[in-house]
Amino acid sequence: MSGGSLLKVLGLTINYYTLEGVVKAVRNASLCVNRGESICIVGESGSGKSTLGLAISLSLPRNAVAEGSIIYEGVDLLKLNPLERQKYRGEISMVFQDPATTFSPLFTIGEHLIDILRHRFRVSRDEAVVRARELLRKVQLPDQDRVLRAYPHELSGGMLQRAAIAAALATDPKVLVADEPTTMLDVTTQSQILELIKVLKRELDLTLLFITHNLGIASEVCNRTAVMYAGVIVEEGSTDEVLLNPLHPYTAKLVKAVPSLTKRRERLSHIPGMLPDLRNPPAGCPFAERCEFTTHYFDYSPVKHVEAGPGRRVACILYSGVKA
Amino acid sequence: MIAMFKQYLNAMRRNPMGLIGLIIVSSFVVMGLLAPYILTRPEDAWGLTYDVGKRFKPPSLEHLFGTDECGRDVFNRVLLGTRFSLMVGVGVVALSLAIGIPIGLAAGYVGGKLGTALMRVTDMFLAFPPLLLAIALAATFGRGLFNTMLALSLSWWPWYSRLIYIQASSVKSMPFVDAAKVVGLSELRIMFRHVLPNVLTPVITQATLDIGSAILEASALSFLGIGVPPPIPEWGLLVSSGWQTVSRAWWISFFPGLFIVVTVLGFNLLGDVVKELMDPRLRNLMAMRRMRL
Amino acid sequence: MPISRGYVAKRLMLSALVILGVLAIAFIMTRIIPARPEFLWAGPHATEEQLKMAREKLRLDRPIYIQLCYYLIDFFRGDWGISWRTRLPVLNDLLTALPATLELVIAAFLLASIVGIPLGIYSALNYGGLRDQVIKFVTVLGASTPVFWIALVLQTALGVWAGILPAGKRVDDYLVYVTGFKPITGFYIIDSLIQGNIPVFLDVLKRLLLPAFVLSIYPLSLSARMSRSLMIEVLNENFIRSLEVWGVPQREILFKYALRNAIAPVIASLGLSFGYTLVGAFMVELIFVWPGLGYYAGMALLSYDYPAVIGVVVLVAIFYSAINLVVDLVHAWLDPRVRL
Repeated sequence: MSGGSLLKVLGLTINYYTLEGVVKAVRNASLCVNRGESICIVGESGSGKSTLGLAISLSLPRNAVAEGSIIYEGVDLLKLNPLERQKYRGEISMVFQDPATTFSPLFTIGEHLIDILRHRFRVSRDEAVVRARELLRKVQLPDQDRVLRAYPHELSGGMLQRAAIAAALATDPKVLVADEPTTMLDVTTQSQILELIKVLKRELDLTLLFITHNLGIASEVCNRTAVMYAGVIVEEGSTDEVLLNPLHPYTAKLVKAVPSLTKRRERLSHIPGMLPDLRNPPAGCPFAERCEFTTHYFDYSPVKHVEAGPGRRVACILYSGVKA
Repeated sequence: MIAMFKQYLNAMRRNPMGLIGLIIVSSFVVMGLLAPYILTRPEDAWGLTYDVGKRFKPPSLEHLFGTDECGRDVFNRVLLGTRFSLMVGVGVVALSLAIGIPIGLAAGYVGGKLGTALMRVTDMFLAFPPLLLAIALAATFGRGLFNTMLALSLSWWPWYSRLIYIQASSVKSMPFVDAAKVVGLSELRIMFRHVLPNVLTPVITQATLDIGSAILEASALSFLGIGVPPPIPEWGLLVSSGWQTVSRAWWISFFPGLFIVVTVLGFNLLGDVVKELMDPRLRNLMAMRRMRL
Repeated sequence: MPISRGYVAKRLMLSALVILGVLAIAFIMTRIIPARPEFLWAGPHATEEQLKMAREKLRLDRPIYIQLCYYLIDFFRGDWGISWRTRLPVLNDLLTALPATLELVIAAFLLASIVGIPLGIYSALNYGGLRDQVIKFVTVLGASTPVFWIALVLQTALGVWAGILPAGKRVDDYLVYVTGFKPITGFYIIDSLIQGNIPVFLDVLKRLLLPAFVLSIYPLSLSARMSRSLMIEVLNENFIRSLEVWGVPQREILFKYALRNAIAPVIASLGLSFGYTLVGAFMVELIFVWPGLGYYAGMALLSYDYPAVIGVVVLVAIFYSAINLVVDLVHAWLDPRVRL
């Protein structure tokens, strides 16, 4: 199942050019994704996790500019010309947060699926219909023919998200990026969709990049986790280690803020302060202003990532002495 | 407020068309305000003179825009016309707001049967093609400055009441309205003191930008002879006054029309920028250099 | 994609309601606002005898709602009053003038839509670029220009001074006399083609060109501006991004998915654009001496011919609501969400 790194993000920086100025959404992010693993990117809204996902799936908004490199099977995706990029679209597929806006409201689900299949595999319309039906069965949608003929507004959120997963899988991808696929759904549907993604990952031998703000979901789905804060990956490691033994003070706070069903009721902690202004982020640790370990002689120079064990990295000044 | 203003200035800098619009609009407003004091031939401007010897003189240094069929200086008349055209534009919009806001607010906030009935009436007015109802009303009321404004605003208000209606029906369910109810404020007080201020900004912005279109429509009424009566030098009327002699004295119609075009253009250019600023989805796009398609 | 029968029924009901509303507003304008409605009916120079007849005709001694009933009955029987100016029944005058207006308005409207919509979409695809800026400026200019002024300017410059195009009228009277051209449908383009009368056909076409162009400027700009902003909006929708990620080629996303999503609301806005064309025709017809509804209305306004004015207004309003009905049905056919 394993086979070395499939996808490597190196020093990725993404800036949005907006009216209010240049928003530095992702700064110097590096991430290594191995073939067949499932990795979670956790962070609060505005941490740049979705932007990272969009960059990997080659679908950054038009006012975003990316620097650095995203190496997929030895090819730098950021250096591709539009024609070559088209070839890689679908290799890395994506499921989006809001199923209601994922499909064009004027076309049936079937029309979307057929178009994807036709262009990806150069098959006839009839063949595409057969495959589309098969895909819908695979995402456990009953009555596939009805779903194929349905318009997006005729389906429930859960059904739409299943259809969206079918569409994402229609390209026969190696990597699936799931950007908060359960956030807009109600709780029971959430767990069904999570279960489905887990099953499909196993069946199809997918490499999964799961983006979420929910640590609970992260622990359920992924074996590895990267924590993002204000555009920076602050900590990375196996999910169990990150959750049980968080190194970065931000991760520690995040873990404490998760309500637990097993422990006795206690006050949920929250993190005081606000995200820094991403138009003008601090040069040093982005979390410094909210961190309890910050002292008045704090060093504001950029923080380096520190290896803290096998597959374990953290970007915090507290550990810079551990192993330099 | 200051932040918003700064944002506008910032947007203007990025978007030269908006800046041009702003310059045009503000200079015409200044011109309209100062017009009576900077006229070189006030009697001509007010239409009080008649000089046979000076009829139909083409543009020259003495008469920048030439003279009309009564020997009056067209430049002075057009200049004073700025005041009347802007006045009609502002008047139409203000009257429309005065009708549209209460109706939209009542329909949106009270809702129910009353709301449906009010919006049905609004739809009825919107079922007329633009300007047509105004033409019929202006013909009924007869010529006159106020009649023109009234006729236009009676066909114009449904746009505002609809805008207010949409806003008010969404504001209605916000917590602060419930809070006001719990405190025991009267419905009327909640409607005007708490709901209205929250729905006013977009409609006032829209209305300000609509002044240009109001000027355009008022000039059409005047051209058809059912708007502002002579000798008021409203631009549409000035164009109409040179209509029959246009092939030998083009300047009488040409210059007032040009002033209409430039003024309305100013409002429209300004409007485009403001609308892009108010629409968050368009905002981020504005900074974009070019779509990569 | 069938539209549900319920939607059609609902939409037809709405149209009927709107026409009743138009009639109600016309009734209020003619009978309630004026202090002495009989003067409006019989004309400013009416004799005492005529005024008495008018009072009886309008049943001014009866209660308002009875008056309204008779008003509606007369209306549906085709009795729309007598024009003071032509001394003929208003409805007859209107039906005679209708084809001339339709020929002009349809030509202008088609020009506006066929040029305006692609122009706006092209502009949106070049968002922020030079071509977009130029198109944007030209269309704002077009939407700021009073139709009567540009009609006068172009008529004088191209028609009178340069002599490139005829400056008015639908057809040359002399040519009609020489070739024995007979109007049948009232649409001269069709009539001349039916009769194989090529000289008249060319003359009609040449004379249609300038007024139709002038009349199309405003709705053309409007259509271009609307389709531009609608297309930009669609290009920002999430589904554009998801189709992109799923490997559908740009070409197909643009010309199938984006276009269809933009076209539906653009179609919905065509009704308004048609309305501007209809009313703009009032002024263009007056200036180009085009014997249609607008010319009729303009002459009626200039001579205070009240029954004629109201007749035109009611007819145009009904016509407009019929157009809106068609537009809404097409929109419903294109967009499954409004079809219910």
